[in-house]
Amino acid sequence: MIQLTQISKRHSSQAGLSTPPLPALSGINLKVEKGECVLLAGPGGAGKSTLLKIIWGEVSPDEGEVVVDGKNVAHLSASALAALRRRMGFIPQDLALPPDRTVFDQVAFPLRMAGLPQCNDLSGRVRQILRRVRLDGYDCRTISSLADGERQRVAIARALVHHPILLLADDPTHYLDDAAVDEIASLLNEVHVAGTTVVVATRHCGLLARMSGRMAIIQRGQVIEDGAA
Amino acid sequence: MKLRYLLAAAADDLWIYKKSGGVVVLCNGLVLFLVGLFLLAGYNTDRRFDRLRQQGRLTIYLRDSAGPAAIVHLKRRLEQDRQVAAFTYISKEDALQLFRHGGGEASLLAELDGNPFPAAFEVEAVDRSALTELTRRYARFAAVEEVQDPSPWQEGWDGMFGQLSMVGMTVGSLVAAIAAAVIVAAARLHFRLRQAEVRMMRLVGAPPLWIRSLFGLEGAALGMTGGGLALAAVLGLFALLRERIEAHLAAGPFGDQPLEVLPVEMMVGVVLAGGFVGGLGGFFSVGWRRS
Repeated sequence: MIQLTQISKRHSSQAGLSTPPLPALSGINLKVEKGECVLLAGPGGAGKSTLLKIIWGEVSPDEGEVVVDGKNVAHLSASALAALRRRMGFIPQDLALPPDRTVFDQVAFPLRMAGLPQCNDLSGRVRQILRRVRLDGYDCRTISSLADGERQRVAIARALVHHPILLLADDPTHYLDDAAVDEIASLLNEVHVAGTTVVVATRHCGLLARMSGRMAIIQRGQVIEDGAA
Repeated sequence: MKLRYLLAAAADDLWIYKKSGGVVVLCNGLVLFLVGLFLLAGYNTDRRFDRLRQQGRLTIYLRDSAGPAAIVHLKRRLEQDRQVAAFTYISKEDALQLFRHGGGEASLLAELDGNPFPAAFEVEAVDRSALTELTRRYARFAAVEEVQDPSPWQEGWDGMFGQLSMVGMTVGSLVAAIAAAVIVAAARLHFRLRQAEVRMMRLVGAPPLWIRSLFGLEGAALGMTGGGLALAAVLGLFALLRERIEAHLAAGPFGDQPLEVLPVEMMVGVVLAGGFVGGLGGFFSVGWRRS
């Protein structure tokens, strides 16, 4: 499903031209099989988010090759990349939720982009996923009226509503309490068991403990350990 | 389905972002109002110039010796002449009255014996090209002293009108370019404020053309609304000031030709132009970037 070969990325220097760019990722090799669950663990600033963004095509690597679902992400046109993304789900760390939109609009958007007709089917699927993330009755609420934890659940619902073949989650429990982490962990496990390839980047020990899958530890931009969790 | 959703999403967005959209509409309305005023002024000026250009008038001055029979004969010829649209007979007495009403100096007349003004026919030709022929034709009559053909000075007017038209078109192009730049800038700014939404759309795989089309549609709607608003303001102002301006112009060289409102095609053009330029601004406010 995902094949990363010798991925390197340097952050552009902020201090000025005299300071060399800071390495974010250095020579990363990672292979994720179809239907596999991979947990990318590591401290903050290790490069987990950058790695997910590279897989998603939001950030281009300085070196190396990224192949997702048999397609070299770097060589895809904007519309081909969009088509690939419509088959995947991504929960970004910043959630990317426009504040003026309603919960229903946000969660229904991937279904509409996939061409699902505006009918009971669409509404039914949106309400079903909202129930799964414990947001029943939140359809008409605007994002700006939600608490951080609720927003996190909306982002998760949006990433799962269209049954993606690959789910990338960047710190999906960042704003959640322990009880909610339990629910999200079991939700992600369910998604994985249902056949979706799942890649989760987290530093949340509670989530790592509750999820089953292969763990890869990233530190200072390198995979220092890769094995079963 | 995506097209239907595109239209519905554009309508939703216009409602959700009504505050910044309202500012864009006002901005568009203001510049299109100025464009509308310019068009209205240009249209009416052009009509007046056109009337002057097309006007074919000549004056047939009669000899003092011309008797009533000769005058009647000439009148009949003018009535039968297909190149004559209308004519008015001005007797010597009428001419004197006109001079007096026109503010002519009484002392000047006192020095002269009798009435020095000749009787005349003021003739309006069916069109300007007939003037030379009419001049030649009526100059041959024994009762006619002189036929005054205005063609030479009208040619001078033509040159001036041509130059004025050029200046008008240059200023018009400049006004249109400035208006277009302001509308595009307003639309781009409006959509730049929605970068978080663009990111979300890209994140879930919205095709770049879809995002651009959505913003293009919204920009077009905002531009057309601004155009409609501008038009309403122009028409309102026109209705309010029309009589005053006409009264003011009546004293000028253009006479009492009434002012006219913009033709429907021009009004529709202002609204559509606002929509087109706003649509372009919206469409190009988002790049083709992958992320």
